Amino acid sequence: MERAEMHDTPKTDTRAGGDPILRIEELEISFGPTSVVRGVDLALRRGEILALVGESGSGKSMIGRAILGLLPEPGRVSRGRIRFDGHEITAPSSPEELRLLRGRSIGLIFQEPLSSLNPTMKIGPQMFEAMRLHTDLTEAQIRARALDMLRQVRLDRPEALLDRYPHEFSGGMRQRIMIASVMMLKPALLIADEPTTALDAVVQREVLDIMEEVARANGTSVILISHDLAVVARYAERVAVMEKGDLVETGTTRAVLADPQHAYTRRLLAAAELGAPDPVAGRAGAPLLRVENLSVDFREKKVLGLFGETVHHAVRDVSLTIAPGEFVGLVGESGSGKSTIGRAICKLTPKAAGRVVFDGQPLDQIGAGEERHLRQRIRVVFQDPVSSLNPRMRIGRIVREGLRHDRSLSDTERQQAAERMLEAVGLSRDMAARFPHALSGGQRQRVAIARALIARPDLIIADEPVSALDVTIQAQILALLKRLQADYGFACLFISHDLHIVEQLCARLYVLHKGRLMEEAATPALFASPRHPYTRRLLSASPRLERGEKGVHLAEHILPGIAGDDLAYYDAMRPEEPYRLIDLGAGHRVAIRGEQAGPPVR
Amino acid sequence: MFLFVLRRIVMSVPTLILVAVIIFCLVRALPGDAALMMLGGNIDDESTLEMMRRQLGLDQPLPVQFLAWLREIFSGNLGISIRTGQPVGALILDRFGVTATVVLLAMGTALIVAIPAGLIAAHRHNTKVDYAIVVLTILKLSMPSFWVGLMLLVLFGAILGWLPTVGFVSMSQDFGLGLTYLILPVTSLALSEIAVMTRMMRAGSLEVMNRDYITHARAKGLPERQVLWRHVFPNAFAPTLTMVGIALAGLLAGAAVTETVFTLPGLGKLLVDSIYGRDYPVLQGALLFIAAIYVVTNLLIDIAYSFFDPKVRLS
Repeated sequence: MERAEMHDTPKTDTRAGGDPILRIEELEISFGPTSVVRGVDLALRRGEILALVGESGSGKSMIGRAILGLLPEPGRVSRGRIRFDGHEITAPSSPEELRLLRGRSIGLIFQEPLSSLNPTMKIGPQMFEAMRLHTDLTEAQIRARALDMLRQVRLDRPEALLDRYPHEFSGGMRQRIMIASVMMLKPALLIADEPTTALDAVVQREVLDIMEEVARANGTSVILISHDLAVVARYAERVAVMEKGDLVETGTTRAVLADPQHAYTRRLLAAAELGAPDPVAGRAGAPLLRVENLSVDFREKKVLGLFGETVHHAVRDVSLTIAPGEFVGLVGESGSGKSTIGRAICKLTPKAAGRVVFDGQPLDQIGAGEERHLRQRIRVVFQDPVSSLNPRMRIGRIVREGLRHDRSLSDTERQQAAERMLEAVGLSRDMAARFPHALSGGQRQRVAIARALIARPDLIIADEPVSALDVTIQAQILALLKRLQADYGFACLFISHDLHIVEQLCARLYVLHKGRLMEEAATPALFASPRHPYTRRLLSASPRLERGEKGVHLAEHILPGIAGDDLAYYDAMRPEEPYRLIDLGAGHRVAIRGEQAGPPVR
Repeated sequence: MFLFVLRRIVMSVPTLILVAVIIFCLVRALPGDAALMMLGGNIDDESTLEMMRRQLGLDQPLPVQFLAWLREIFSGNLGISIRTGQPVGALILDRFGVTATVVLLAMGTALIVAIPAGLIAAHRHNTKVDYAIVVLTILKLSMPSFWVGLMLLVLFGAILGWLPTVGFVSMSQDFGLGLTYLILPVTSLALSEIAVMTRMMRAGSLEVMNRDYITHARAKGLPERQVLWRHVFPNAFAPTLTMVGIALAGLLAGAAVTETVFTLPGLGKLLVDSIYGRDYPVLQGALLFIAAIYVVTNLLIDIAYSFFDPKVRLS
């Protein structure tokens, strides 16, 4: 809260003064006969950070590209003008005028850090080339500036880094390299197009903090394009909201959050704000699923070395339980092993050790026939609704496939069941005849849910089911899951990197880090008093909007005394090092170092 | 790098031995009798034939013959040609020199033309330049290469009389004259490869041009020429390189049709002649040599790959 308030008061007027550096007037962008952006007016002052918010397809990225004069074919500016610092972007005196602005005066940072660096070029040359082009500095000066910039984005040992290729870095590091290479030229305007969408909460926070810091230090104006209002609200003085090509609302961040004027903004806020949690508690009695001391290793054969292999411990000694009808959250960053646990439960990935007991039956000891039956009782919903539906099958058949095992049903009965199921997930019956490509992301995920539920399973393993969706759609899918649970009574292992999503649904949470359980607790207890330093870091990295007396505002978790040493210890922990969970009572368990006697002190 | 090459060479030895066994069996399975062919093909005298077989070592059991051949392989000269009496190793190297000259010149020419052509076509996607390049490559691809070769001979050799039509002169004997004999076969081969590689290069470039890092390179303010050469080309060339590797090995192994059309004394021609003449030592030697060409070319392409794709590590 301290931080939100600090942002609220002084920044709005004092920092961003003077003439606008960028002025967009009645901008219309068309692809052939269809316009994707219509009548947009925007102005940006020097040093100001503007958040351009909207769902996919709202045209927000196209505005960013138009400012650079780099609209993808066959897009073009069909009406209106863009003026930047005395230059007419939409009517340049020559193509050269525009080209010289790019990089030197206007920088661009892209969404996907994995694809925005040239994979065949070392980091150094990629950073140097724009400097060579736009400045008269010597090679040594350019190099020194690059190193200085890399230090500013908090990368260690920058000298070694220049000689390496992009694939040797993680997504977060690449995005920091990107920021360094773009901000090195001290552009007057930075366009950041979903700069952290592909990253985890913790990394996202780090990268955006660094970006803001560097931009403010250089007086750079920023257009921060994002679909996530909660994420950008922290950084921007003003917000502009786009819906389907129209600019529906602009205003100071505080005003837009507190008193949104447009219905769409209100919907966006309602989706992002995530009202009071309403977790799905389980029924009493024997647990439906018990995972005991599960370990999973990935072995990588040394191909040309002929002998030996490297073993990667993806999951180490993880135990968890799910009661019948209970929603349990499994939370962690990418690479933490959370998906692997889900896959190991349904025997899609072999275990190295441990056992999985489903409904009193150890899954290792059942025969092939029982296993087929079991697959009807545990179903999976995957993250990517695009690749998890067979593109050559009609929706009806995709959903119907879930009933293929049931020989007692005729084809017509299956078809009818599929259609009923489609209605249950909020789709119309005639969708059955369509192919997946004709559906939106949210609709596809509904199909995936219908396919999972048609066999009336006892347990659904939902692996990041809403991560690929826009916020308003996310809220709809979460509500759908909750409603379906009330109707069908299934339990769910909800795997996610987003704490606030699992908070909405799950009665209990497991926090995973580097393949180990860090903390286990009832959801309210975990949010109220997180005990493990890793959980605290995860919590403090996830922004969220809260409804207060004066409308919606940005809420932050204030967590005193994050034990830095402890965290560093867990970050660097080697797979063979001991760790154990100790019980704090009321089902709250927390990991401690092997030699520690008690829980981490607060 | 050195270790990688060494390991690959050591690993290729079992491959080549296996290939040698297969070649040996296949060649022995060919219908016909080398001794009979040696003696002119119509000898009734069984004892003369028998003597010939003994002289050629064909009276021995097959495993013994195979071991004898292996000994020849390791000694390096691969045996003696039944027909000409020359050492097979020297014969193959001599003929391979001709083939390699033609093929490498053609491939070099093809790359010099095809890479810029493909890049330009992709850069000018859906413009007249692009259409022209695509139509030309399709036109070339739909013409049989021997026919193009013959037409080149007719035009430049017979009608215009600029270049010789028949025969071959080694460039080491007379560089200028040798070159004139090479121009037509090299052009003929290069045209085919240009068509294939331009299309590969264009397709690869089109895919790469949609990537974020290309837009990003433009957003840095780089001029188009630098965007194309520095950012598009290295990324788009990898698939083309695979094609180059396959084509190069195939052509080095004997551009038999081209060599026949232009009457070049190359490896392909040697192979065809030795099949008709049942010249077992030459046939076996040539086939084994071709297998070795594939091994070496693949190795070279893998090494070249590591320059274009940093994710490929030679270890």
